[in-house]
Amino acid sequence: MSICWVRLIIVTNIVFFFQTLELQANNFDKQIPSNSLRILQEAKIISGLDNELAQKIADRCNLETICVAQEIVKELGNYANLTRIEPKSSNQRRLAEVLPSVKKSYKMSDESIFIELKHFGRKAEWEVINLLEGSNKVVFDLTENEGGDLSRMIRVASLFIGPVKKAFVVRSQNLVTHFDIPSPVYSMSDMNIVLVVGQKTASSAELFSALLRQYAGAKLVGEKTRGKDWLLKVVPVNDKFWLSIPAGQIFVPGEKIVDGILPDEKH
Amino acid sequence: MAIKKGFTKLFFSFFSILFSTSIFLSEANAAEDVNRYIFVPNRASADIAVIDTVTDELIRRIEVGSVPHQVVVSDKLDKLAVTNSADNTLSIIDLNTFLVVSTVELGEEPEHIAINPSGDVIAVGNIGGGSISFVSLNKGSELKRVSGLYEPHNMTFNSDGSHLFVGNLGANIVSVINVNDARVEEEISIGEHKTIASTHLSESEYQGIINITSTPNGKLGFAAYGEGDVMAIIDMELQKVIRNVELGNLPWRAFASPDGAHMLVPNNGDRTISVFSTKTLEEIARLPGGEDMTGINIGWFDSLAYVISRGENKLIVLDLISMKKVNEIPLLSTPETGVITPDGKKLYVALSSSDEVAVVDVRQMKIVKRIGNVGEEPWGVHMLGAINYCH
Repeated sequence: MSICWVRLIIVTNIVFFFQTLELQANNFDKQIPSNSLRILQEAKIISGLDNELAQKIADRCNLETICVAQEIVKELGNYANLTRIEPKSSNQRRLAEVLPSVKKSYKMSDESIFIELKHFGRKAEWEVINLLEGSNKVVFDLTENEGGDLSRMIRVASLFIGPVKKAFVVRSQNLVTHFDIPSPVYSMSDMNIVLVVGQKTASSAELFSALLRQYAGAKLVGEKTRGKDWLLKVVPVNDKFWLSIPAGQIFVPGEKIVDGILPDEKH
Repeated sequence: MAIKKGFTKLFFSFFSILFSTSIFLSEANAAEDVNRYIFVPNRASADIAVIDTVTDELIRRIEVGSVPHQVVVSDKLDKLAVTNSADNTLSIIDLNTFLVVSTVELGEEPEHIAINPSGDVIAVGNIGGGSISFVSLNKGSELKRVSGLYEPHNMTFNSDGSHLFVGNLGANIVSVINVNDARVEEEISIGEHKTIASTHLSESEYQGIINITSTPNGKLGFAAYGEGDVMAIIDMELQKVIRNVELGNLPWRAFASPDGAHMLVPNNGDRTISVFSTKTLEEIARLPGGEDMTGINIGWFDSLAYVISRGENKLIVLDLISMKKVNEIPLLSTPETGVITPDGKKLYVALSSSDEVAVVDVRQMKIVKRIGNVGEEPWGVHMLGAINYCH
């Protein structure tokens, strides 16, 4: 009799233990299941991924999110990329720590200045405005500039050329989008501009060079640029990865970025 | 000898009763007077400063875990909760004794906190772990953890506490969590995805959604998306965007006036402030701002807005009647965030580089006191009954 009671208690405890585990499993780490569908949908909208291919990817990966993202990268090409998000510090998140866009600058004379613009970061526009005060000639060194955020580049360009309607075009599979350069915060349209470019000069930096040559008469010196002419949209995959989806090819009237921009003067 | 011994015993008994009573009285007063205090998390000294707003004196510092980030107060339970972002814990403090009564293990990098309308459960965003922890202040334990977030930042409960709206710093998405079911019920996308033209993705400067700021009646939520230069106005009951409005460059988040008439959004990219009418849902003014604006506090009968410019170490004062900038107040130190007392008369600003809290007379538009040695790297200020926020 007592053995039966002991067995019953043990069985009850085991059932309770598993029930508790199940309860915890239900309460902890619940995943929203639609991430893979969401990024497939984004790839369809942004890059024109067709329905049939999207279905194949979904089936191939059994809707596992990272697998779907990797397959999208393979299928789309044109600089599509899956990037692991680097951990950020609290100060970076609060933007108390911002990577400077200007790596180096010095006055060449009272009225001319040299600025090495390493990338188009969060404060690029204001860094340039502060440095250009009192100058009428600027030499931008873009030889190490591999691009960056499109809207921040446009804001820097606007200082010298803005506003310009339909300044450049982006063509995707089924869409042509015209981009305007807005009015600047401070106009520096009279500035004499020289841009130093090289093989590493890419993407936003190539577009910046093309825009300033076409609309501000800037002189390009150095070597042929890299020729990266695709825009990418950044789509969150989960808290660890981002997917960059090709959104279209860039065209500037009178310029050809795809083969690399040729400078006016070779160095 | 026996008489002397008895007298001594009696004396000590009397003294200990008196001592206990005085402690009891001071404990009782501490909790009763909780709405007169401001609480300041000090990141570097790992403690919470308690400042009496009647005397503007520091009255104590409470030791907590490493790198405290934000505090909330439950006057219902007389509890203060603090996230310790470097320890992955939450400290719960009894306001009767000012002692830590529970330390709760959470996810990776707990930072921001929201308290539910009934004041007994808090939601904590584990920003490094992409999850939200729901914690019972009564039990001092984690009830549920929900994953599937993208660097969860500030959060807002809806008016009945059934849903939590989460701003994701790492995405253009507002996640809506069903609190009872502990699951992400809806994802609301805002604006277009960030566009880059680059050989590599530099994501350290990505600014998604800092917060969903609700109107006082809890019907509408305003969510600015930094990379998209846009703000979504969300029907919080239907969980749908009813309107997208264009903003200036790199908008931070919306700050509500206490009367709910205005939403103010600092645009850090072009250093302006967009002022919205919550009645017409239109931008009614674009006013001059400053560099790296981290907060806006509105007081003096909802007529004056104090904008904190972290980048220029100053306060910018806007008159919300004439819709003009009327003053600038240099702070001579790095401001973080601030709080205005519920009567709208005094503004307290945490100054992280000088370990001070500045006290500003809102009507006079001047600093009336700098409270020193509040702790190392004060990061924010919180007051019961006021409009509190964190960055």
